[in-house]
Amino acid sequence: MIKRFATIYIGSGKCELIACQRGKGRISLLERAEHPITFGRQSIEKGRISFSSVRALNRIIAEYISIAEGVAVDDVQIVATSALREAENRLYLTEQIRHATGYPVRILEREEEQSLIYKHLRVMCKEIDPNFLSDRTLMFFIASRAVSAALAEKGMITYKRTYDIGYLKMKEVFDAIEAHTEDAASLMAEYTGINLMELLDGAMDKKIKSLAVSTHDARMLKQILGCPENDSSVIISKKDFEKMTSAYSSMNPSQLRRAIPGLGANAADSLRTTLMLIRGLFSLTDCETMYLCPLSINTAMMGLELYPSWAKESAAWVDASAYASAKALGRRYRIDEKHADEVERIALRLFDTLKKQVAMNERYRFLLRMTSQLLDVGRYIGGMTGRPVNRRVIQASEIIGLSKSEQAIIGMAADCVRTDPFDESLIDKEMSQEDQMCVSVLTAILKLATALDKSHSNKVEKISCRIIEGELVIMVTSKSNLQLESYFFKVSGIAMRKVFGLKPVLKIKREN
Amino acid sequence: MKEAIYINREESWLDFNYRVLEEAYDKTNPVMDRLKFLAITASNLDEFFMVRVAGLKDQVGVGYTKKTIDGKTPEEQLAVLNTVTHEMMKRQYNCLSKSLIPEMEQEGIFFVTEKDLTEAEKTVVDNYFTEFCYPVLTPQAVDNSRPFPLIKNNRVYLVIQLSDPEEKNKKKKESSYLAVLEIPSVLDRILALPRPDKTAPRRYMYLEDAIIPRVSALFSGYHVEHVSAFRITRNGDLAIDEDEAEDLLIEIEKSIQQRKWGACIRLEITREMSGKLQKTLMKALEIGEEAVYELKGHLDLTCLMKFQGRPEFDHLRDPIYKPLPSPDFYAQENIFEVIRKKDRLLHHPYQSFDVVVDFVRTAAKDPQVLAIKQTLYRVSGDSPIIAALIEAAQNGKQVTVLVELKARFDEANNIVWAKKLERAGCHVIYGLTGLKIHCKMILVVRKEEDGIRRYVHLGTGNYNDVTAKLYTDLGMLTAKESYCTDVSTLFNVLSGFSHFRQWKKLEVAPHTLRSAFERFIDQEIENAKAGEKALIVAKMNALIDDKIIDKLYAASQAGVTIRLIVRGMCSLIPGIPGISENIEVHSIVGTFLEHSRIYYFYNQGAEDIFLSSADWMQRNLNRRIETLFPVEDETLKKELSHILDITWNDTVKSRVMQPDGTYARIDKRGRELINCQKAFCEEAEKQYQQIRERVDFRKKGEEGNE
Repeated sequence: MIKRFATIYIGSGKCELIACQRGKGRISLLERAEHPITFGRQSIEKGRISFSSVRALNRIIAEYISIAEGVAVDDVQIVATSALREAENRLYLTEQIRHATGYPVRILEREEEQSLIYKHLRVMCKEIDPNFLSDRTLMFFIASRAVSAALAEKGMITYKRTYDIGYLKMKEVFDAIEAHTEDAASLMAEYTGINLMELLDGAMDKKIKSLAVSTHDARMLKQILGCPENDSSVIISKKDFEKMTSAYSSMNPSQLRRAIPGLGANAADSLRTTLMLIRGLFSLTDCETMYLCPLSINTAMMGLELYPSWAKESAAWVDASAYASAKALGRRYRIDEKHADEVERIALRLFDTLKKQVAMNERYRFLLRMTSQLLDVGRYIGGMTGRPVNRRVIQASEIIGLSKSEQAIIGMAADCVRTDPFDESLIDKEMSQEDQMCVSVLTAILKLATALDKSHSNKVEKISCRIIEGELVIMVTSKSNLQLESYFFKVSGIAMRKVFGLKPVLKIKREN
Repeated sequence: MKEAIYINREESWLDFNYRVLEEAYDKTNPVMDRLKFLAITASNLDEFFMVRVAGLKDQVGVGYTKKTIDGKTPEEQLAVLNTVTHEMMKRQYNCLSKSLIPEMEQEGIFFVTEKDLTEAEKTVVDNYFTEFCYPVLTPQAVDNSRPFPLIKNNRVYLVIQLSDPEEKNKKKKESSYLAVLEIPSVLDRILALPRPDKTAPRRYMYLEDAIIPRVSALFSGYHVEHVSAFRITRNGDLAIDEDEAEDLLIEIEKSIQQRKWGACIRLEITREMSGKLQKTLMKALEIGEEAVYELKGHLDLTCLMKFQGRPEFDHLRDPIYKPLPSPDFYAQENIFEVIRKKDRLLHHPYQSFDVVVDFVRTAAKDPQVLAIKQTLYRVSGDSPIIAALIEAAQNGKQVTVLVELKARFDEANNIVWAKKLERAGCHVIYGLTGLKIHCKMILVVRKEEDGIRRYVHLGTGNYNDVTAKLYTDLGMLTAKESYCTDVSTLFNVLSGFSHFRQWKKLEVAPHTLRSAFERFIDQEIENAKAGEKALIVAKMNALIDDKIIDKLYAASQAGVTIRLIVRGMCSLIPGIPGISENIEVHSIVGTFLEHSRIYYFYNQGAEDIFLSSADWMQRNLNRRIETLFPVEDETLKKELSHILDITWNDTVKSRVMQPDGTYARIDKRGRELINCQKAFCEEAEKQYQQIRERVDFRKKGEEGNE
């Protein structure tokens, strides 16, 4: 079946249209247009975007919709990222756009945007090197507001950190440095270096073997480096990069604009930051090559729409990465990994039985796995106050693929599991009803699961569950003594009763 | 001296006009064709004064002294041009009086004046004056109480010196009056006098020759002392402050109004004009003595263009060539299917422009077509393309038209069409600030069974069905996605709503075209240095870009063989030892105006061939939106190579540029006589016959089967 789809992306520095067609096994680009805007700058400098800018944007979007309609697209999607997301008056703005163009604006959450960028970076690099991510790789992207680094090990992201030092933020700092310092170049390099070191703090314990960078400036960099100016990724050597960009290394944006014909003001600001960051990354990681990939939210969105298999595979990769990140985070906080795995195993068995009774989707299951792994991350730092701090640790960490609300759910569930009996007052009432329910569900299951491994000895060998006449009957087989587990099982059963209305019953079969 | 290796662009342009004038002198051409060439030189020269000379005068006026690549300041250039143009106009009139008029007389065609008229003719002229001239003649008095009247650009006027018989007692100076009278442009400039019988000679009379003896009828009570004709040329270069132009359309309209008032650049007078009258005019028009051109004959030779086209002279010119249908599209029902199968090339005027018109017309009617986008630079007065676009909009298609209002001297025409298109519901876009849209593109978006498919026409010439019969141009029709995506993206850029400039196939000025040309030339230089064959063949209208010229010189020095077919201005000098000995420059001036731009690079045998809307001129590469596109289909590449070969080997209409910058006819001794334009006409005829026979044969076969 032929599908035609258009996305209009409202970024910090540009509004972009891409219209594509999928049919008979091929994708064709039908329309492409982009127009510079200053939303990012306005959003950062004033905290809001002027209505007149939005009116101008509406004219551009209307034109883009008309272009898209000219190729008979089935649907148009308007997406926006940080500039609109961070603007105080975003609700007014999105409403104005909806009213003027007839299409709602979907603002991507920060984590959603980042996941998308990393998914795109991965697929673009795999296109030119199928072995991409087989080594310990640092994935890095430079956006207008933020930069983000993610460490991938064994193909999965295990660490991610974001700093608000995107090119617009950096511009403010650099401008100030230039205005007040004589030796601006070295100070700016120092500033960039310090920030990068902090950003990569959790990733530098072992040698990074491979570096991949996604940036809006990829096209311009490719031009400088003599590569074809297209949307593909490219592998470039540190030597070539330093050789070809050395002439630009100490230039300020206006000098860059003079040196590179056709370079816009935004692009010049961005290019200066990008050159500094890449130079810093090469220096910190000792990598000899770099995968350079154009950062395009729109292309990534289009990929999700037009390549369902890619969308599915990428989503699975993000989930697997989130799980790997959770495990890595657990390791960092020295949790008992075996215990976490045992709790996860038991909890999943309980979940699979209960899901037939109560409508719970796969995302609940995934969150259950994640919570199992993160249950104890705050256990050894919160002892003084007596109150659990899992939630704080989890919410302060960046885990790819997890939205803020999901992180809150996991954190809260982890805290609730560690309180006896089930202290519902811990649940944040500001959360949505559904999220609150999710916390309760996870807590109820995990309380039983942790109880069944209370001794951290993985005593349960086999486990099966059934629901019979208001009772959740759990049969376990073990060679060990389960007295401790039985006791805590009884105590923890209150949550199950409250949440599912089921009385948990433990039946133990001893095997010699 | 570096300057010695370049030719001044203005002088080179005048050289080109001389080559056209040579055609007017060439007795192997039929007499009316020669007259046409003469009229073309006059029209060219008018434009040259209006744009180039005016531009130089402006530069002198503001004290601009930057030298051109050949080392001349604007003032120095003006001095040279003044001499050359005086000489050229003298030669134009010599050609007319000493060569063409005698030959026309041999053919029984005579120009007469009042004294030559028979009684019967006199009566006819009297009646014509009374009935047709008198009502449209508007004399304008000149005296101290009134400003000198507005003299329109490029129109012939009479200046009449009058005296009042009742003021006999006054001094002659005080009793003398002046008036100016425009020769009405609504009437034919040359009148055909009736013939007593079919065997009698044909006699013609200039309109002013009919008016002058009867001019006293306009000034009753005055005595006509003296009458003579004059014509002025004004600065016609548009200067629009685009940054301030909120609406370009309004700004252009205003500018056209102003053109009538542009500074006077040239004053043409007849020999009859007295010195005193000449001085009066010079003073009134604020013009120097150097800009006065005293001519030996009737003013404004451009009127001969219409005259030579009269039907009674059909036997005195080469038959007008009727473009033939392209074999690819002959008897084909579905134009889109033909294009879908493979890329198609159109060679105009040998192959009819109708295919392009049909392309738009079919798209306008086709229910599967969703959108049509097109650039328009110069269109004909009654353009079928415009009509088709209007029809398309009325049929609910999304029609986007990029009208370049700034197409020189066509602005008024473009505004009329632009408004018409707007009224029909087309989305009309008026160019980009600071950049003329000169590229020629049509994009048709069609919803087909297997999804959206786009069709594109890319050309070297304007979408003008009239000039397509007179100019040689090339066009390519393709449905290849890479081309279509580029064209689609470029339309978005041209609409002003996109800055995305990344091309798969096209090179686009002013962004990538110059660097692409430099890259292609560099690549040949590398190959030559590596001892491999290196060849560049380029056909264009003008070559005056200093950077490209320097690149070509470098290529020549590296051993690259360079063949240039440059119709008009060429600032490069071939055959300079150590600099350009591997370069040859040909120029072809023929029946059709050579207008196609073809660029060929040997590229280690890959033989890359490109077509373009751009010449190698600064304005094309820096200040216009132009496209260069590759022709990749092997058959079409062969076809283009063949076109370049035949054109290069022309021995009849080709001139070869010499190391001193002059042009010489090719030495035909021992060589086959090849007139490339005639050869292409014959080939088109042959191809047409073949396809017609094939189609007829197939039809008969089908009828037999039925």
